[in-house]
Amino acid sequence: MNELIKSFEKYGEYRCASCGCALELKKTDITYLGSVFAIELPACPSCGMLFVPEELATGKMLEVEKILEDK
Amino acid sequence: MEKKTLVEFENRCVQEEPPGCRAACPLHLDGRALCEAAAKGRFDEGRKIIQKTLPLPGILSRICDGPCREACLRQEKGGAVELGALERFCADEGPFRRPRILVPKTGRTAAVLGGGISSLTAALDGAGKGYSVTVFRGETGGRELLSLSPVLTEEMVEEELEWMENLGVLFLPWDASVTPEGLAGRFDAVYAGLDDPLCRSFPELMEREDPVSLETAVPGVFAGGNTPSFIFRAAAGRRGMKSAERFLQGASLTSSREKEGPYATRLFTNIEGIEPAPPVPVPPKGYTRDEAVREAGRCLLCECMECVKSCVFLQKYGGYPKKYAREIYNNLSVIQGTRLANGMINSCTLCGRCERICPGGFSMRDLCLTARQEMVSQQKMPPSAHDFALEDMAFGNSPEASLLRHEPGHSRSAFLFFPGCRLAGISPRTTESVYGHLRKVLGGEVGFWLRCCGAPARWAGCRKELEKAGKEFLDQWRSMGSPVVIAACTSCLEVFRKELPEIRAVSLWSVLQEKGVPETAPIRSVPAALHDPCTAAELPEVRAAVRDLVSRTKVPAEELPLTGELTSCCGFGGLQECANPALAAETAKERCGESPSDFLVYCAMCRDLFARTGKRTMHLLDLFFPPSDGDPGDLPPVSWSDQRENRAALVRDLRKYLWKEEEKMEADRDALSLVMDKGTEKLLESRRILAGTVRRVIRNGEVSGRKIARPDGTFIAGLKPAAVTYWVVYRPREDGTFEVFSAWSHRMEVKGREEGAP
Repeated sequence: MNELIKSFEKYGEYRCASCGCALELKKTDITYLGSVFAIELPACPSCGMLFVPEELATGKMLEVEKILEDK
Repeated sequence: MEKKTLVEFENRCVQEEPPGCRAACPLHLDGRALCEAAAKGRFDEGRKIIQKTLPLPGILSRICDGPCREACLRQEKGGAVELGALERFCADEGPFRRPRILVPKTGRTAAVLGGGISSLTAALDGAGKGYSVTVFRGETGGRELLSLSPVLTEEMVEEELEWMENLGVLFLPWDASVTPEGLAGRFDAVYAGLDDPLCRSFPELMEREDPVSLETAVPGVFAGGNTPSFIFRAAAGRRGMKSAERFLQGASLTSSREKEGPYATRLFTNIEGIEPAPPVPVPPKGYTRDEAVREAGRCLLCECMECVKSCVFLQKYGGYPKKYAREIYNNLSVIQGTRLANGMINSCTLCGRCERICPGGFSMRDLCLTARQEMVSQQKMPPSAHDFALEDMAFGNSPEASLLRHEPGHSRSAFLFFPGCRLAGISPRTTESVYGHLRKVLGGEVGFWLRCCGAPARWAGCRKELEKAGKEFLDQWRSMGSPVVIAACTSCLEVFRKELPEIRAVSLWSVLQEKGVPETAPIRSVPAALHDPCTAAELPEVRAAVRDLVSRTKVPAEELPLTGELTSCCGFGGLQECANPALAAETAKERCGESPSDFLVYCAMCRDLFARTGKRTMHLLDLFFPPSDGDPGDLPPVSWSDQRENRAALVRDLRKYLWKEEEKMEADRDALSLVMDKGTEKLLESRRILAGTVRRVIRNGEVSGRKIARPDGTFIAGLKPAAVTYWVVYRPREDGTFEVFSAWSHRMEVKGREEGAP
């Protein structure tokens, strides 16, 4: 999933509405049904607010969710 | 699932039972497989099938008298398949290439008396069991086999005898010193083939005691094959050597041998509609290749598949119930690894049609429902499968979308109109009209009850939630004085009948049939195909009431080919639409394709799912309570979002205008107004993101200020109300509304999100 996020340079133009900072990639853990994955997500360097991009949520993340649900 | 339960399920499915020809053959030659290969011109495959089953294939395949003919289902459709002639062509077309299997010698010895087919079969089988076999035969040295049929040549007989010698069978001449008693003393077991006249000269062999074991008066000596049928002679030899084996093992000579000879198969094959075709005549020299291919093509390749033929779901997974039962059992037994059948278990519509079609009464509904309940109790149910429906059920029972009242101006209820979530969500207008009509025709004391009956929890296998909802349901019903519930939805009726038998419930359709419908001008007289909802399949009185009501309209109704108790689901039943939306769309499309006419339905969900495929579909209530403008067949399907909002709006409207409760009502918390184009609406519908959720996400972003600003002036806000996290892209507009551009969701949780996320 990391490679996927790295190509999302456009998120550098996104800003945290409350802090005004440009988003940067931040190492984060995501979990589902007991499995933990390390991933980089766009986040505000000041307050830490982050978000999960649409391409990730409806693509790779959905695939992994389905695999884990059948485990 | 217990192994015992699996076996009970499996036993009901007859698809794996042998075809009639195979069951009727005393040696169980697979005629269906032979014909399947031969019809494709694959005669080498045919020979493999023959040599696997028949002893002496070079002889028996040419002279078999074909007792299978009597069991061949083609018999009624032009004449039985000429399987004997097909076997003969296979044998003539090329050589048998038998693999020589080395069997370890057991040290046991067996003697075989006679040189006929029965004796030689016994000898072959004995060699195959690892015995040292000695055949005592007359002086002709096997040439008597030639006399069995003019089609046999010396070469053919020689080849078979040579094969036996290669396997180590020893042939000795029979002289006067050889007697059954004498052999029984020198060998561990003895078989005598009574198709050889020499054997018939011993009275002790002819006084057989047991037709199952072929045991004779002499212990350890077995005899059989005194029959004109060549194949039965061979079968006796096989049976006799099996008895010899049991005798040597000290096992029972008679137990569990029912299926050794011919038996009646349980396989059901529907031959309705099959065009009769006469057999290809067999020339004295046997078939040509072309004739053999044509004759094999007449085989019906008997199989059942009755339930699969008419079920999109059963077709989807490429098998049949017996196979599915094993897959589901394995799925439930997985401790570590992938559960391959989760999708299948959750995709059944639970309509029960397979059970009604199946000659053995196999119920995929019971199987899948049992599996779902087990998965839920083992906490192995994929959260995504039914969450949406369960959440909708919770919404349906929330104060926002539920309502329980005596009729305005009354303090007790003799009846309670129970429209159900779907009718109220898809057509709140009709719901109100029907309620008004019922109050009129029933003369008062007609209360109103909107809530969920519990069907989603039942279908999802959530027994705990269902029981909790059922208790609440009963409490509410009793609080109203236990009135008669008038249910508009057959799924609700099914839940009452199966889970809450205490509830006195009748169908709205029966009430309308008895009390009458409003006089309305005929809307149209174009014929329409009447579709019964799957949950009406077990409610004949409801189906009859509906047909009576339809006859009062001006719509000429047609019956679909599969109707009444054999009706099919629209794709919503059993939460198929929730767990497998693509399959549900196929299910609806398949059903709609059964007639070019418009559809007439009496379930709101059926109406909506059919309308989504583009089929013009009318709800019966729309004929009696027509929309003020336009044709009911033109009404658009209603999105999940709108269904929810319609229910909430219906509750608000009824409370405000009918029960005059405005002062008690809370202000509408969901007032935030959304604007989105059709494409976005469709995207959100397909992702099951409701307008209400979008509002909550935007409100959260706007109130907390925690949102992401994009260079184009739009914002992204997120919220995790329960298990799912939602993200919405939106732009506040000057008029105070919010334009929505996209929304998505995920179930994975971002760790430490509490601090970091919006």
